[in-house]
Amino acid sequence: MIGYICLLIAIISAVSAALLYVVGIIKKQPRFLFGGRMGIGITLIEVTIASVWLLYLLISRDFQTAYVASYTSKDLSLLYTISAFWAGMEGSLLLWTWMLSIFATMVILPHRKNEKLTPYVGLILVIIIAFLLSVLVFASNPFTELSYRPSDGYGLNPLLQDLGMMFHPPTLFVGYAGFAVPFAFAMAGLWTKKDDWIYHIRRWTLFSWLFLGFGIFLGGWWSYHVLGWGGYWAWDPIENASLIPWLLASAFLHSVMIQEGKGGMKVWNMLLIIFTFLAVFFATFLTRSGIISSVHAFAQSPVGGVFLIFILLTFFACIGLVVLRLKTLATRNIFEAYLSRETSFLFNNLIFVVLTFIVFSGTVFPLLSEVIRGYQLSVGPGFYNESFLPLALILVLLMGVCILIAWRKASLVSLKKNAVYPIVSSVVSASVFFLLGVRDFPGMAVVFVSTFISLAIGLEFYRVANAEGNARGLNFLRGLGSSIKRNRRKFGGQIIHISIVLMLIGVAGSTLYENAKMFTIDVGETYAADSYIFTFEGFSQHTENNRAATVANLDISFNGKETQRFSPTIYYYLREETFIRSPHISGSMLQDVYVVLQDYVLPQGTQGGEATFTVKTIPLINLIWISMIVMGIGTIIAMSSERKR
Amino acid sequence: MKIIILTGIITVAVFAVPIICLAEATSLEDMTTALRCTCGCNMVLDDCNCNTAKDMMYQIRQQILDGKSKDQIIAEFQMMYGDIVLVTPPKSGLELVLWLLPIITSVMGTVVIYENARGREPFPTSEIKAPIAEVDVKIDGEQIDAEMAKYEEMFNEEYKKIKEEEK
Repeated sequence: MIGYICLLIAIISAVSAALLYVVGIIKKQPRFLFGGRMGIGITLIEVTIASVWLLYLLISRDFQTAYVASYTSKDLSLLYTISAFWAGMEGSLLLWTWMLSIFATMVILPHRKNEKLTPYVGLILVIIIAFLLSVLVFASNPFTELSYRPSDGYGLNPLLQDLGMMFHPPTLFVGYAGFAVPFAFAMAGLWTKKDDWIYHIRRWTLFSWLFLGFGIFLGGWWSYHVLGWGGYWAWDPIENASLIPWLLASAFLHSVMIQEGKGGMKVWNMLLIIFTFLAVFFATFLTRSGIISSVHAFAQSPVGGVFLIFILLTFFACIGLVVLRLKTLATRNIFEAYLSRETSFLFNNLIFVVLTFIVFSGTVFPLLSEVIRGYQLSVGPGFYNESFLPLALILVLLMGVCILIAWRKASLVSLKKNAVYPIVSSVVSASVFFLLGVRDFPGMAVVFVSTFISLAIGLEFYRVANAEGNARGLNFLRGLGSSIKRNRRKFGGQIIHISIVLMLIGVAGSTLYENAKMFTIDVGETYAADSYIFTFEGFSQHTENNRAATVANLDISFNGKETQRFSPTIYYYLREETFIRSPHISGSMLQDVYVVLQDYVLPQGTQGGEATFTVKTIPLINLIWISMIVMGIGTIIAMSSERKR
Repeated sequence: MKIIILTGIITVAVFAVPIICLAEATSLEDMTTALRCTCGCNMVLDDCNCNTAKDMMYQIRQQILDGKSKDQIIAEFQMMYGDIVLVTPPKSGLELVLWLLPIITSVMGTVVIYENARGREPFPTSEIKAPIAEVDVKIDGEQIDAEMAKYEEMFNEEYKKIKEEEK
C-alpha cells in the first residue's frame, strides 16, 4: 500500500504543479511558478519512495505483491531479483517515470539560468510525468496485491537471467526519459517564440542519444552471448522501434548546428525533435500493446491503447503549434552554394530520414498486411539488408565527404585537392584486400569506405594539429592536444565518426565472413573440417541455484596449433521446465569462435553418448563492442565543450 | 587531373571483377537465410533449431540435390506455405509499396534539397554564430590566391610610391 499511496500523492502533486505553472505563466506570478517547482520536487520524492519500496518488496520476496510473485522466486539470485524491477511492464514504467522525474528536477532547479523558458519546460515535463503516473495508478500498478500469499513466485524468465538484464533496460530508459527534455525546451521555445532553446538542449540530446545507443548496443551484445544463434540484431519490431528515435536524434544533432550557426532549418529541427519524442512513445506503445508479435513485447494490454491516444494528441498539439508559429520559424535562405557543408548536412539528414522511414515501414507493415489480408506478414532481415544497409553505407561515406567540404561555399578545386589522397589510398587499400582474398563487392565497398573516412578524419586532425602547433609554437602532439581542447565539440564528433567506422568494419566482418558448421560427434571421437580438428571429450553435469547444467567439453585445434577447450552448456530451468542453450565464446580482436551445444544423448551403459554442435567463426565482431566504448568517449568529449551562443 | 583519371580507371577495374563474378548461389546456407521457419517463431530457418526447421532444411537439401536453382526452391516453398515463408518480401503486390517508399522519399528529398540549396545570395558573415564560427573554416585555395594577389598589388603600389619619393 505504501508504494501505491506514494504514486497517488505523486500524481496529485504532478497535476497541482501543472496547474500552478499554468496560473503562474498566465498571471506572471513568480510564487505560482515556485509552487510548480515545488510540485515537481515532491513528485520526485514520492516516485523515489515508491521505487525504493518496490525494490524492498522484491528483495524481501513479498510474494503477496503480484509483481513480485510474477517475476521473482525464492531461489532467484539477488542480482536478478533487483533486475526484476524492470522485467515487467509495471516496473519498467515506474523506472521510466522515476528517471523522468529526476531529469525534470535537474532541469528546473537552475531555473534562474533559463528564467523565460523554464516555466514552460517544467509545465511540459510535469504533464508527461503526470501521464505516466496516471497509467501507473489506473492501469499498470506495480503494487497490486494478491488475495492470498503464495509460498513462492513464478520466477524470472530464464532468458532474462543474464548480466545483460542489469544494464540493457535501464540504459534504454535513461535514453527514453532524456529525450523528453529537448522536446520540452523545443515546445517552450516554440510557444514563447524564443530561439535560444537550442543552446540549452545540446548536452541533454547528446546524453540521451548516447544512452539510447548504449542500450541498443547492450541489447545486441546480450543477444549475441545468450541466445545461441551467434547474431546481435534480428530486425525484430521492438528492436527497430528503439532504433527509430536514435536515427532521428542523430539527424537532429547534425542539423541543429546549422540553426546554431545561421539560424536556418528551424521548422525542420522542430519537426525532428517532435518526432524523436513521439518515436520514444511509439516504441513504448509497440512493446506494451503486444499488437506486433515480438520476443520483446509484453502481453497484449489496454495500456498500449492509452499510449496511442497520448501519441496522437501530442502529435496534433505539436504540429498545430508549429503551424501557428510558422511565421516566427521562417528564415531567409541560408544556403550559399550547392557545394557546401550545409548542403552535405541536408543530404545527411535526408538519408537519416529515409533510413528511419525504412525501419518504420518495415516494422508496421505486419499491421497493414493484417488489415488488408487478415494475417500479419512480418518483414524479415532480407528487406533491411537490401534497402537499409546500402543507404547506411552511403551515409557513412558521406561522413568522410563532409569533412572535405568547407562551410558556406567550397570550390571543386579545393575539394579535389582534399579528396585525392583519401580516394587514391582507398582504392589501393581495396586492391590490397582484393589480393588478400576479399573478392565480394560488399566487402570491398566497406574496405574502400572505411579507408576513405579514416584518412579524411586523420588528415583533418593532422592539418588542424599542424596549424595549431605552428600558430602557438608547439610540437605536433601538443598542437593536437591544444586543438582538441579548444574544439572539443568538433573532435568529439570526429571520434564518434571513427566509432561508426569501427562498427561498420565489425558488422561487415561478422556478417559477410561468418562460417558455420553443424556436426554430430560421439564421445571420444574426432572430427576434422576446414583445418580445424574437433575432439569431443565428454559430458559433465551439475546443478546450480535453480537450474541443471549439462556441459559438453569439446577440444578444438586449428592448423595443428594449441588445443583450446570449449564447454557449451544446455541449462534446464527446473521451475520453468525450459531448456536454454548457452554458447561458449572465445576469441581475439580478429575473430570469435562460437560453439553451441544443439542437442545431446548422454552415455547409457556401454553406449558412449553423442552431441550435436554448431561451431561458428565470426571475424571482427569484437570491433562492434569496442566501437561502443569509442562512441562513449567521443560523446563525453563533445559534451564537455563550452556552449557558445 | 591525370591522377583522378587513373584512380577512376583503377577503381572501375578493381570493382568490376567482383560484380562480374557475382553468381547466384544454391548452397544450403543461402536457402536457410532466405526462408523463414513456419513453426511460428518468426525466425530465419538458419537460426531456428526446431523439428519443423529441420524438416524444411531436409526438403531444401533434396531440392538442391535435384538440381533446382535458388529461385525455383523459393518459388516452391512460397507456393506451399505462402508469402509468410519468405524472409525478403516479394517485390510485387502490397509489398511493392514497402520497396518503393524509400526510393520515392529519396528522390523527392533530393529535389527539395536541390531547390533549397541553390545559393541565391551570400549570407552576411556578421550574422554567422557558433558552432560554424567555432569550426575551422576551410581555407579555400582560390581565396588565398585572391587575397595574396590583392596584398601583392597593394605592396607594389606602396613600393612604387616609396621609390618615387626617394627620387
